[in-house]
Amino acid sequence: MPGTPLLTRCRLWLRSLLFRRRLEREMQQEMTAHLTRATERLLAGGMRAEDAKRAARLEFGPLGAIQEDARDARGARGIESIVADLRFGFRHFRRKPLSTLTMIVVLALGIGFNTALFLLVYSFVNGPLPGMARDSSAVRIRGIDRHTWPGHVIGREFSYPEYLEYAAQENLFTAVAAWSSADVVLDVGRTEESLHSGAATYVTPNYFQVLGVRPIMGAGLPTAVPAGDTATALAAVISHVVWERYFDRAPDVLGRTLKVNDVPVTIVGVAPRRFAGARTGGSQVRVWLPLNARPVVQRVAATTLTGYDAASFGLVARLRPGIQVSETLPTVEAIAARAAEQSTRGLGRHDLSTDVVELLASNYFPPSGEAPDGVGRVASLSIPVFILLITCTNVTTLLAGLAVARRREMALRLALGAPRRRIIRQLVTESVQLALAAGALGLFVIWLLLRLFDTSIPDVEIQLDWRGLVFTFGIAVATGIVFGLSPALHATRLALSEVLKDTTGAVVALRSRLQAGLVVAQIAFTQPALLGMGALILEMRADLRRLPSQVFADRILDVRFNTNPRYGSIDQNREEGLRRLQTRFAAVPGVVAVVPQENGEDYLELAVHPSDRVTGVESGPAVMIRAHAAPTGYFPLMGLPVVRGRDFNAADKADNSGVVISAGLARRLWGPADPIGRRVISSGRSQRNAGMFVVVGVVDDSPAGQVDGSGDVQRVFVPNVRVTGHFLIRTQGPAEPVLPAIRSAANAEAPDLPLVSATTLAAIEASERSSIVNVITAIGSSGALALFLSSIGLYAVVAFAVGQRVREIGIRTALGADRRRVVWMFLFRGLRLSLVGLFLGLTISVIVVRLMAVSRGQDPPAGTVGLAAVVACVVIGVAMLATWIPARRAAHIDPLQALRSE
Amino acid sequence: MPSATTPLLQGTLDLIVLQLLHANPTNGYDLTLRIQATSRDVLNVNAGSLYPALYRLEQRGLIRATWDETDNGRRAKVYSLTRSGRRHLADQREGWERFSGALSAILRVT
Repeated sequence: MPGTPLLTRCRLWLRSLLFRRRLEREMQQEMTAHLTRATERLLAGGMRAEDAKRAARLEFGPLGAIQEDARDARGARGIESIVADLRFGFRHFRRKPLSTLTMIVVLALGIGFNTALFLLVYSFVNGPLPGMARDSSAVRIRGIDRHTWPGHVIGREFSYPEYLEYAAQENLFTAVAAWSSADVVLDVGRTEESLHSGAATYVTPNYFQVLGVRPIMGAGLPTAVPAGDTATALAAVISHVVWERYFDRAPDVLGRTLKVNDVPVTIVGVAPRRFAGARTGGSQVRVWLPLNARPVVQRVAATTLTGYDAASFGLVARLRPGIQVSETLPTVEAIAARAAEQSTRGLGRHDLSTDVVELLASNYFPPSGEAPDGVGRVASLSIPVFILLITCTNVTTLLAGLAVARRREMALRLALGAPRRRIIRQLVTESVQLALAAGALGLFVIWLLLRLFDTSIPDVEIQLDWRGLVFTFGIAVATGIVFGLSPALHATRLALSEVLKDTTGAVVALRSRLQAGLVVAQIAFTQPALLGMGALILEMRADLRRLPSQVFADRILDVRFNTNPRYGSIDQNREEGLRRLQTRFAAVPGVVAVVPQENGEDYLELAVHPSDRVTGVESGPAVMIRAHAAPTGYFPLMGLPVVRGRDFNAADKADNSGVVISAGLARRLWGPADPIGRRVISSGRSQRNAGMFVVVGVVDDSPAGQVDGSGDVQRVFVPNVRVTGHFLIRTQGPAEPVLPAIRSAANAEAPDLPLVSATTLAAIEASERSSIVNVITAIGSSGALALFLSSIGLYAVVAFAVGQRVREIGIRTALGADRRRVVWMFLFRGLRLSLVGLFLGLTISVIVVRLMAVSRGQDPPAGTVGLAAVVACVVIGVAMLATWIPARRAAHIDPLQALRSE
Repeated sequence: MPSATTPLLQGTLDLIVLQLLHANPTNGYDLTLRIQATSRDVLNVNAGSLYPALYRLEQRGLIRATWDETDNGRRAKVYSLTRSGRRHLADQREGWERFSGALSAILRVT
């Protein structure tokens, strides 16, 4: 009402809500006083006491009705009826405990799953780095490179001179910190097995201050290290994981020593839990050392700090107060342009650029396309919203079933004069009650899931920002309410007479059309969802198979040394050293052969040379295939027989123009035709993997004993190998026992080379498999959850449909119908509906599978058709079961009972 | 034949109550008497319409009620205008005067 302040109105409303009893009492008193005074006046006029009382009452009017009107005027009416609605709702739910519980569980799973997933994605996309607090003045200075890989944007690290230039911008930044990471071997020096591979981050003294991270123990790195003073520099902050895993959370860890690449350093601090530095996804096994320690620990020349070409630094900075990110852009762009000119690699002005972004977990890499970061963020945030919608549709289905079942009740109330608004309010109240109960349970689900995420995903610091939690939780609950509302609206819209007649054909048809629609929709949507997840699982299983499974995996050792090719090339001396190491390994007793391998991965983008195509064989577009280096002795060592053509010879090595391919790839490119002498073209990035290659040999990629005989393993081998300190060692018997001998040989021959890992191929394969299996399990369980939710939805719809026809069933059985035939009637109807849903679902499935294939640039995985059939059977099976159980129950009730229930 | 009492015109009860309470805060019973007296017995407002009106106005924040001792020592609920009640009354009175002026002008047309 105009004129009355909002506050007053709220106060009055609250008063009538909270002090209902007192107001009621006061009203009684007031009216009694009125009557008393009227009686007194009449008495004074000379009436008799009895008459005066009666006359006063007459004059006043009907007391009860007036009090009702007064209550209405006070606004207490609404509250009273809300209380009544609540009570009614509780009674209603208590009468149907099973379906109520089902709905609460479904909704709670939906709310919990969504909120938790949303928080996870939100934390990843919008959250700070693990172990850090969010602070908008902490920014990332991000290098962008458009040169190295034309058409793509990749991240770029900075050179030390560039760092100094950014650090000099004191009007923009209060501090700029630089860091550079490298793989190292940590020796915690307590047992035989004390070597662990991890990472070291070399940082400028202000690094921790700029990030706003404080060690949980110890003073941290020295804040100033005199140039050239390496003694002070040999101090390290260790990550929480290192402290936990290798020092058993020892409280006296400070001051102890640890060897990083065999250089002893003193532990001066322990980093907070989860903190893994300023980049995302780095190893949690990490130590932080002053920049000055880098030449000593990494054995690189100090000159790598002076050139513009040796770019290996990431930058973080603190904005000067009052400076916006956008104000820094012109300056950093100018510095990037200067760096491009200084570089000796002949980069153009526009090939390198720099931007500044808020320091978040998700923005370490520059956005790959034209789309700004925001688009990606919105896209990833929409996933949980989508899932919420699915859940809500499910709940609508449940509630619609309920509302339909109660249509008669609604109609009766409408007929007795209840306003439609009143009935809708009743249904909304119930919907709210349900959503709140589910919300409470949902909180528990959220708690469970967040704990799960917390332990299984170290890269994300889940932000339990209460505003975010309240917001998402509120949205989830509100959506539940809104979706509960739509069936309520529907239920009250029908014409009275039609519903009350109830058994007339028109209404039955109308009612069953709604239910039929829900059944069809449920089946049509469940199927593609399951198929999509199933296809993902199939694809990963295919990946699992594609993992080369070696016959002699347990007899091949994979030994890697840290040679840091990133910081200066491997020079003549080191190459010599590695050759000697190879000879030394070969001399270890039990070793049959040793071949060098490469660290890092190289890919060929292969397409058939136009004039070497085989008619009738569709080789498809270029395929990205990992190139394996196959130096002399590689094929015998790996147990790969050359079945056609020959192994590489010296000439191939000299001009680097031949390749050996696997039989599977040969079949794919040329079918049954002889591949020897045919040419392929690769549009790789570097000299080595771009150009034209002649196939000189084919190896059999499905040797006897390999479980997977499909032979579609596609591999390509190149003749030359870069020496990088990676060896494959074939042993006579099982390789495990030879390991110690290999280690001591390495120590004797090359004491300055840190051994990063030495393990059997079998162990590597096992760990690769287990990580894929983990993902499959995760997808599989969400698929199971989806199936569970939609089975419940399906069951609910069908069960209510059957429940609606109890009377009909009663009449039929009373007239002597066979119970079995009644059940069959329902089953048949259910089957018909399911088939319609299945047909629609298949259409959607085809679209989904095609879309998935297009977005990945691959054909749908083999077996998709079979999978579709299985999914269809499962869905139909669930639908049948959901029909059969209630139909059977309905057919077995006493006809008298069934008829009386109406 | 004109009757002794005239039924209330729609919406005028609020105006009457507000105006009388503005002149003199009082309780419900005295208010009925005052309406009769002031209108020289033309208007007869019974309790059945007065109390709901009072409660409605109170709920709207236009009047407020306090419990007071009357002269003869009884407790009575006394209503008085709030600030927004006074504002509302001024608006309503102006509107009513305009309306009645216009109406009587029309009724004078012969």
